[in-house]
Amino acid sequence: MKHVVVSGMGAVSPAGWGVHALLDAVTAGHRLEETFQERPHREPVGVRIVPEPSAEILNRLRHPRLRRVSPISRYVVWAAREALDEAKETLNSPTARIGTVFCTTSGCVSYSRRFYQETLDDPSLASPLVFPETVFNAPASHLAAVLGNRAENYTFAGDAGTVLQGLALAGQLLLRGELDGCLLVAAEERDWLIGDAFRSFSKSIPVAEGAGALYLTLSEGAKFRLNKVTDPFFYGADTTRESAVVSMARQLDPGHEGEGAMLLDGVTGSSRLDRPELSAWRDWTGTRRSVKTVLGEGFAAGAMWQIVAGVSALRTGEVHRAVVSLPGSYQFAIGAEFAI
Amino acid sequence: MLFHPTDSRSAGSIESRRVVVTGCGLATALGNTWEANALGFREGRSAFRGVRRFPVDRQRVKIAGEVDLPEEFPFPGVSERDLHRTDHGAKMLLWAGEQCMAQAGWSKGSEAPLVFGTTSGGMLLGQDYYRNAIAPTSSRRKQSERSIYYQAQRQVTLLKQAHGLIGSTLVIANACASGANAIGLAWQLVRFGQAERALCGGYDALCELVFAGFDSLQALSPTVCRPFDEHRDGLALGEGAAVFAIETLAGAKARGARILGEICGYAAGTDCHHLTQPHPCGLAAVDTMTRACAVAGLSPGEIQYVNAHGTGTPMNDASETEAINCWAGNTVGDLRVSSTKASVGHLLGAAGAVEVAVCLMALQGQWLPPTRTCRKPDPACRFGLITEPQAASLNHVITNSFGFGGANASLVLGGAG
Repeated sequence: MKHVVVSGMGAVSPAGWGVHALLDAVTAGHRLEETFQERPHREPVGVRIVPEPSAEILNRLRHPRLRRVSPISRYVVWAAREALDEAKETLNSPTARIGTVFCTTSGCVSYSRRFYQETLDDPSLASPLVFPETVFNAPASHLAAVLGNRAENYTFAGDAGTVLQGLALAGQLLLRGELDGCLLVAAEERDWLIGDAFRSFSKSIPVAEGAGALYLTLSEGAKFRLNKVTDPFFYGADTTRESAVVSMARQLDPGHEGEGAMLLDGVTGSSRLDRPELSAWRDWTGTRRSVKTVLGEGFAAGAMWQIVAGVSALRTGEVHRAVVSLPGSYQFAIGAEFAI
Repeated sequence: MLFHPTDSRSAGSIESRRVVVTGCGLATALGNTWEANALGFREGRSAFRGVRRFPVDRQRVKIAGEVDLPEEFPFPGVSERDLHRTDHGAKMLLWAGEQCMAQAGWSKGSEAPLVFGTTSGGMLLGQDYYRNAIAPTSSRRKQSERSIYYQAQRQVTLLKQAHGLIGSTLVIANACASGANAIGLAWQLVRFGQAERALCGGYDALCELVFAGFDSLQALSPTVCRPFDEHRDGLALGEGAAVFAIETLAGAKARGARILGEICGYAAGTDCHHLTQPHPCGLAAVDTMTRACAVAGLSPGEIQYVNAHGTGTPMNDASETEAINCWAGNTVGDLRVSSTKASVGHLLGAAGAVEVAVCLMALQGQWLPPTRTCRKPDPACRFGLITEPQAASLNHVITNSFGFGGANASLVLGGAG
């Protein structure tokens, strides 16, 4: 029987460029340093930003398609390449069908803001070089070009849980035999506009930027596998955030069997935002990691950091089950489980 | 669950099912009903006017295909508060969804995932948010709701809630291929048994940012949008929405539903050539057309009509012409091709979806939609370019959608019979 497995992982986060930097920070559990971005007419907003890349990293990111891109595209390419490198997938086979599923909440916001400001100033002078970089699928397009990958390439826009919808889709494409491998990438970039919007939900949680990537394949003999992705439980007129998170937790882990398991939750450190999730998982007896308390609210990228942290714990044998809980900020709650 | 271990047991042994369309609602500059659009597309009417939605006095081009919705229309499933908070894009989506659901006859509580494509979703609200954020004395009172209702996923969720549907919502943002991708992915969900039904399509509203963007690229025609014309000089923008109810053929027959047509094949791929320009030979387009036909079990010679992406830009149409010539091979002379963007403009994330609707109309009515603005076809076109309304005998057609970032998608459609 073949299962969907994680053959490679990559990450860019406020902790640094690479999975190791992310894991070191999450394991240490200390909140990373916050910086402040200016915004018009109001106090600056707190953000956790990706450190400046080293010369070596910049060298690896040299490509004609990456000359004018905004940071999100660089994060996407770095994380995806790290995942492919780990899996030793070179994409050199002319017959290999390696799909890409890219997920984002805010997308290429810095160029979108810049281009719209140029439009407001004088549309006849708005830059034709900036506009194409505003489209949601620009980062995934650059990634395909850098890798020379002509296979299916989907960009999904939505709440953080969209990453798990993308994970389920990637798994289905693999199981149906339509792909030989699939890159699942999620990313966000910093901009004062994101911090400004998120302040409607929390004034204390800094937003974060970066990316995460999984390279997914099918395997018969892998040590652990993708075990489940729950239904998305939407918030709405009939469903509170609280009840949606409870439904997700029940479907994900009906017995709260925490022994030998790790819960990667979406707890942020804001008592108001966290209340539904803390309540839904109050009986959890296993270990627990709250990636966002260290890194900040990374939206889709943050969801991927949770997954990377969970899969890493499985790989090292720290646990035999990793449960990812994702109560999204705006739309729905969803969860996933990886297990031996 | 979206993914479960039992999925693994069926790896490599998944059987496919035939999938049909049993509901379609749409809104374009030609009108807000199936009938108005069928009449307009059949005659090849152009529905452009001076842009009213935002100031264009400093833009190079000043026309587009705008959609006028009725001042008041009932959405029983959407609260006044939600409706008040949505923008024109979401309202077009809700309007098309209302028509689609009425035609399909699905009951409230139906299980059906929603898969929709858009390029800029609620950008009108995003623009409002930004202008308020930079204003020195603005109120923040509505900023929170703008930041939520701006999200395309929220808009699609409103449609879902309006009709009491149960299932996930997925928003694809693959630039101008989004609508076709959304229908293709929804089709796969039903075809491979992950859902019995799905609601899918695409939508996009005109907004200042995108209009200025295409104008800055000098991609907009300063004269008349003339796809495949030797002297074509650019595209015209439009807005719209198209929503489809799709389900298994067996399910549709069992409940005696009226079938509008069948989705027979789909393929997507990536053109790595350039962020905004297609490969001159249209390699990715050849690939997606070929694979979509293979999935449908058809050869190019069995396709009678291509609804081309046909934006009217010099580069797109040259590339697509090469691709169609190559894909059709020695049957290209028998093939009929047109671009309906000459009628309503390029609808971006809605384009692929509205063009699927046009194909279904053509299959149902056995006619070909003309590109009437094309006066002198590009001599590179070895296929028959439809420039006047005409009847036809159609069994299978293909529609192409290509987007920024090299997103390419093709869908093969068949008649209701």
